[in-house]
Amino acid sequence: MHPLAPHIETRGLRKAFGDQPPVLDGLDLVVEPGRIIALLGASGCGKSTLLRLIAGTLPLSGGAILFNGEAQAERPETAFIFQDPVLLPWLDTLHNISLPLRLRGMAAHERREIATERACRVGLGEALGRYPDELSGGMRMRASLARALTFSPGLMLLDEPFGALDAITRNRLNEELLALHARERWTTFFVTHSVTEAVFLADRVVILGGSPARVVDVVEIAFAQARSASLRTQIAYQQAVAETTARLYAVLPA
Amino acid sequence: MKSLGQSRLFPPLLVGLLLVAAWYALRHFLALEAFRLPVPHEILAAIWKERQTLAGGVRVTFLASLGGFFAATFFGLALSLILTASRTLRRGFLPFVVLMQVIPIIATAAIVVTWLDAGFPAIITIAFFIGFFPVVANTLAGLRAVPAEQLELFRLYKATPLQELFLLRLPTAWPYFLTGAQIAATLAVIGSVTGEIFAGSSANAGLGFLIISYRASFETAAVFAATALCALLAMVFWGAVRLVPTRFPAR
Ligand SMILES: Nc1ncnc2c1ncn2[C@@H]1O[C@H](COP(=O)(O)OP(=O)(O)OP(=O)(O)O)[C@@H](O)[C@H]1O
Ligand SMILES: [Mg+2]
Repeated sequence: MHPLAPHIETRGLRKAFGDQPPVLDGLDLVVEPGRIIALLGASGCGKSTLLRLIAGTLPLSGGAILFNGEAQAERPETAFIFQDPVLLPWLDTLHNISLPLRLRGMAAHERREIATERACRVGLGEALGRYPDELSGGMRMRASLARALTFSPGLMLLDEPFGALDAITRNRLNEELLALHARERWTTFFVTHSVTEAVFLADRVVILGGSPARVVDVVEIAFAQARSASLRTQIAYQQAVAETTARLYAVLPA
Repeated sequence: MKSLGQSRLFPPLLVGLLLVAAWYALRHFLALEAFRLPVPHEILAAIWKERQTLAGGVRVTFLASLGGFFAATFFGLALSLILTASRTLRRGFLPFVVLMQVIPIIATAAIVVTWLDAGFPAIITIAFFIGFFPVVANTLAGLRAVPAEQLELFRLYKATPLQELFLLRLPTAWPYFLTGAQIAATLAVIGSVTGEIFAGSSANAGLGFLIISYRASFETAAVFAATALCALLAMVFWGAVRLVPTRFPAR
């Protein structure tokens, strides 16, 4: 377990943009440290907004987010992974990965050491000197992942990170993400539109719905053994996908 | 084999030849005197005959353009960074930067000469004035063209405003700045030639000054020669700026 993976609870979470009707209201959610939560819900229902509230890049309009039971707690080290890799095109892989360290004023040789280690962890050890436009889509996403890992975050927020990738790359990155998670066990929120991806990754699938959005259903996903690629071919997995799909469509607006 | 029509070189070559032919034809059939319309071989001859004077002119105009170009890019970049850092400053200053641009350069030149007197500093100032605005306009657009997600990334890692400016906005703006600098490069030549026409002197004769002095003595072929060199100079200038890599040199 990551020593700083937080327990997270939202109570009556509310968010409205300006004078518009709230996007989220009365959203309650409890997540134990080190768990992976998949967030499903219709497009535009407020999944990205929820992640930003948790990350602290958007202010709440009401309610509270408790970290380890405290409302005023200092935020745990948080990483955010966007749908696009969001790499800076004028920096090579090494310098893209070490960017967060640079922003906090770490010395150059230390940055290089940490960034190199993270790059190797995601399999980019050979691509350190390459620029984003010289990487494949999957490699760019790996670089984005490595950058998110620079500070050894306790909280990992992923907003449809692999949505733009082909199915094979996407499955591989899912497996690699689980392997990385097994090592540090960050508390993880993973927004996706894919039920198969959600069921493969998550301990719990949370379905958001309604307007304003709340938690409308929670599907616990428990598999007997550690997850690997072979899980995809197992009956239990197929059944969990089928059940989650049925429950998702039961609450989606027609 | 590629047909002649598809080749990249052939069409402009053909049009060029036709233009030269029309040029000679015009002179011949309208029975014009040489000082009204010198033809290409006379212009080449004038370049050869005046080669020392023209070389001096190219040198003077080159230096003035270079000075104006560097001033325009340096101060243009600096002002853009300052205006990006503060919304109040941007709102306050931008209208006047635009105002500066809509004053015709000829009028600017006349005013600059009354302030600075004729001479090299006045000419550089005119070249600076004309190149300054395109640099500011392009760089400002670039500094504000940062994708929202990259800004969010910087905010997530609690970057300071200065880090955001120099590690994110400036590199994003770099190719935009270079576009502005390319425009400034050609405009700086226009500016310095304009400046020389107003404020040149025989002691320090640039191409602009040579153009009006050749014209005064009806050496029209030399006027054409100096004009052609102005164009050549502007093209070389522009080409040199094009060689600067558009990827921001960052570590
Ligand atoms: N900065 C903002 N200002 C105003 N409205 C916003 C802002 N950000 C999001 N919204 C609105 O909030 C609602 C939820 O947006 P959000 O991006 O969270 O949805 P989402 O569930 O992530 O959708 P998708 O699955 O398409 O990514 C939308 O109606 C959107 O228009
Ligand atoms: Mg979204």
